[in-house]
Amino acid sequence: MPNPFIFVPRCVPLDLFEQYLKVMSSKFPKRRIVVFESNPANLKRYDSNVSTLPYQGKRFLSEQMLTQVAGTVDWSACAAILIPLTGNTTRGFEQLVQFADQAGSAPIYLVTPDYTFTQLVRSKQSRAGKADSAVAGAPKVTLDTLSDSALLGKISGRLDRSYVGSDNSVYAFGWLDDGGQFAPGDLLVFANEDDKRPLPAVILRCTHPDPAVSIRGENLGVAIFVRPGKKPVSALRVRYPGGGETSFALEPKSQKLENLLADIASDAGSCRGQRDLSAAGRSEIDGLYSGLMEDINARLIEGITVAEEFQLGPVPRDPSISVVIPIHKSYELIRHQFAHFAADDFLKRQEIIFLLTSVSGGAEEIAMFKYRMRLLYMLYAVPCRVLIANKNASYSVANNLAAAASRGRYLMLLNSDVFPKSPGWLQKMMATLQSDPTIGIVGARLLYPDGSIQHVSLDWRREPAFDNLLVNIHPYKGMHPSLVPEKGVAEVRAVTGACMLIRREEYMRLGMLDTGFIRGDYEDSDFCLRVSAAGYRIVCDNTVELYHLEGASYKGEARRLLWHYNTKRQEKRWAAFISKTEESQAEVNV
Amino acid sequence: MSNPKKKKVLYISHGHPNFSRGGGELAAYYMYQSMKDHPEYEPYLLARLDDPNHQISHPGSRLMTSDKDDHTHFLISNGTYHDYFFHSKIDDGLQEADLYQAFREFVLALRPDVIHFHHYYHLGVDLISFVKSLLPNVRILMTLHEYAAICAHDGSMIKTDKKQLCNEASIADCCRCFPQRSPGHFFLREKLFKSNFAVVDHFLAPSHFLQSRYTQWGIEPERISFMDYGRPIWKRRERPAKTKKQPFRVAFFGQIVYHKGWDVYLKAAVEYLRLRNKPASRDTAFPDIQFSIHGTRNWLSPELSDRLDSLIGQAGEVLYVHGPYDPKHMQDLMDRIDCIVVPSIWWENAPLVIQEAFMAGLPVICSNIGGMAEKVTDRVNGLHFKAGDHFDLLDRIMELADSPELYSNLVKGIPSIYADHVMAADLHALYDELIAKNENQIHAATSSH
Repeated sequence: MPNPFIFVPRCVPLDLFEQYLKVMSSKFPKRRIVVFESNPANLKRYDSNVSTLPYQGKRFLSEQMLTQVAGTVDWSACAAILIPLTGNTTRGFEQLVQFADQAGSAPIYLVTPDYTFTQLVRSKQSRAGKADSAVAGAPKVTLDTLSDSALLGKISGRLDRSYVGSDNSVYAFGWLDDGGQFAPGDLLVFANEDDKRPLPAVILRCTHPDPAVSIRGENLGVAIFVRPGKKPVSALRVRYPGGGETSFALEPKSQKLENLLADIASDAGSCRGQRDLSAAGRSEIDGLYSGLMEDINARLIEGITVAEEFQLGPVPRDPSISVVIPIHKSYELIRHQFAHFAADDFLKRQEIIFLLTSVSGGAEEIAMFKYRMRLLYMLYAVPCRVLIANKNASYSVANNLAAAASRGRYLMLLNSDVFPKSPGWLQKMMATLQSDPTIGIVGARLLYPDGSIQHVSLDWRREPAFDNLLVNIHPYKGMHPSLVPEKGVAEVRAVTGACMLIRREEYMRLGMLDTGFIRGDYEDSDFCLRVSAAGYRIVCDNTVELYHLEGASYKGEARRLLWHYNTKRQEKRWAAFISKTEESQAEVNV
Repeated sequence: MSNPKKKKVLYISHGHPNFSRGGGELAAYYMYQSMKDHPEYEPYLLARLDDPNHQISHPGSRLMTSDKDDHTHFLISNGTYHDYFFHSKIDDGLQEADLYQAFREFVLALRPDVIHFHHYYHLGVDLISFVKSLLPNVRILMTLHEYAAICAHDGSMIKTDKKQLCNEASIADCCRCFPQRSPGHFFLREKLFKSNFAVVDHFLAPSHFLQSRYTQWGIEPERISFMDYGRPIWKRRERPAKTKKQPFRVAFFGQIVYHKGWDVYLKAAVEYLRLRNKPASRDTAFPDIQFSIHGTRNWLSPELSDRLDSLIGQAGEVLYVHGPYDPKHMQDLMDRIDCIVVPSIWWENAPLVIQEAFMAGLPVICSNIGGMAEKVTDRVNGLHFKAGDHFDLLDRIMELADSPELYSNLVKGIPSIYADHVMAADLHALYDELIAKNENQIHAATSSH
């Protein structure tokens, strides 16, 4: 009687396999182990109680395997065929199973990463060989039910990010190592540890943006939108058709909300980028993501107030104009604004408010900012109020906060990277606003450092490259001022918020800046449209010139995607109004 | 200590000649000295001092006085924490946090009537606006020593890569010299200087050349005028007689920095040696010339350091390397040479060494550009050579060495030097004029309702 042996094809990485060997040895004591080894370099690697049988070929293919073992292996002495699996065994799996099914009649066991032995019931109705040490209590599975089984459900995955809404809605994005074979309709999502009923959820698959993941396969990415519910959700389980699951523990607090917005914009891009996506499909994705970003944005801006404030120098109690300047990290520019303002006596008699919105850097960063403001006041003697927000705030929130705290009759919204060309600019703009009660907003001509136009007005155009959506445009940008036909006060459709003069009371009454736009670019045009809709005119005073060092706030793919979100929001709200005003001006748009 | 009847003028300099060798500091010091014992103005000097290891400064204070001079104060400011692009002491964090407080206390304690800036290096250009905030009626003057407000390349107005001469700042050109900077940076830099310069009542330019550069840059002509560097005049004395055997002795005096053109000078020496060693030269009366180089060797990049050593080696016996010199010994040193060379490859403003050579009765051979070409008139009191061209320099040296007649004509053409007491009188007139103008304005403003 030949020595009984266990037959094992090495179909998992070597380091894992060595662990498996230990477990297999202990389950089948006193049995030789014969390893079917495809890599010649490993033939000498194993311990002395392990024999190797070389396999010619890179991948295990059942036909080849059967041919190569024919005549070499005495299956009558085989006590068991073991097939080790990892969480990633999806390909080639069928080949191994087919081989085992046709090789002899010894019991076949599948060994999963948790070291569970599951017996595979052969398809042939051949007499099952006596298993002399059948692994006690091993669950059974047949060839037919194999692909649906929980075995394949020991699938790993990773959660990249999640967000839990106050209404217990959940968003999760990550990837599943299932080879992308399961379509959204195949999957179910369950909450927590033990809930029995699947959650109402929308699941999307996409190619994951991480190259380390996408190289393993397309469509491994997964986005899960769980609808609002009664119970809070702390973990999600994705269940596969065979019953297996991948769990994700939700840690929503670990990621900063601001970064989350950018990441979610990227997720939206990944999902929209799927092949064979219909217009309806894309639209559904957009709807889901818009809603989510809107929720997060609302959460981001809730509860933002002025945490502290102090005054530098003699700020007037009852000023004509409040100049409001949000500061977000661009600290080195403040000195330059002070140097420009120092020469302007009229400006120094108004109320200048600097509002710090980059506060998440910690106490030291805030302390440095306060020191800098005090030092600059000492050097340049420009009186001002300094306000500090309690949380990082967006451009619109910052302006609204500062406006609420302001005391002037007129409100000048000014960017931290705008520098007057010469004193007298503010008086002129105020005079223009005062000259005509039908004027709601006065803007100014803004120039780049080389003297070319940065802004004379904002306008709209339908952009064929972006689904024919209305996009903001900046006429004459980069051109020499001599090419701009308007030389004086010109009526325009909108002006930039980088330098905008309004009556404070109207700013508050017409709703201030809309904080629902994400990260800027549309708050000013949106506000201008509201002012127009209320019946006012908007003008740009071309005789007033300031420099605008237009900075890139935020580059790359995330910016593009957020811009997309903002553009659609504006389109939804204002397309009809804009078309109506265009028709009434008898303009023809192609 | 101070006479209540006299008006006070405070000179602000970024260094003191006792501690640093630059021309600007020396000129500022001469100006301060010239006003001592003045009947109507009492001069004070505030000089910056670098004391990174807290060796000599008082603990917890940024101010010190000189034990030799009641009216000299030192302001301790760490040179490491200075932004040379924007000339700022604000963005370096809290390192120099109490600098401005100390300055403020000093200025308010002294209450000068006139503040005369010589520099803002290591102090920050915001200092100018600061004094205006502290003393709204003070008259502010500034003597300009180089082109720092115009040019971010150490105020030299030569390009960063190949050292070509630059005539005018423009955002596009400046960005090419500093690829890591954006147009916005140069815009902000220019505006920052102009904002601070706007509160200066009067600028003094030690050369017409510098004056024209600054008016071209944007300072109004009525706000800037020419005033040479005034200084104590050396007592005339007999130069030691020269023997027939002595060679024609030519010298370079100055800090060994690349912009000063030691490269050109040493190459001329090397070329001279090569020509002298040619067989043909032995037959003719080839001029016997001895080159000298005096000056402190500052830090040079490894490449430049190697080049310097190599050139010195190649120049061999025709070159004497003297090393650092004390300005107090200048007259003695110049007694032993026949002419000096000022081969700077940048425009210069008004090199003090030219005045010193003239006081010693020596003609000057210099580059044909900028302030040098203005202070030395070609063929009258010196010779010009094509800037950067060591062959042309050597031709001029040999021409002068070979022609005693030319030499004595040049010596005869040496101009008189602007003396310190003459400068003091001119400053007096200028300060009086500015104070009077201001008083008229205040009077006009308050009397018109």
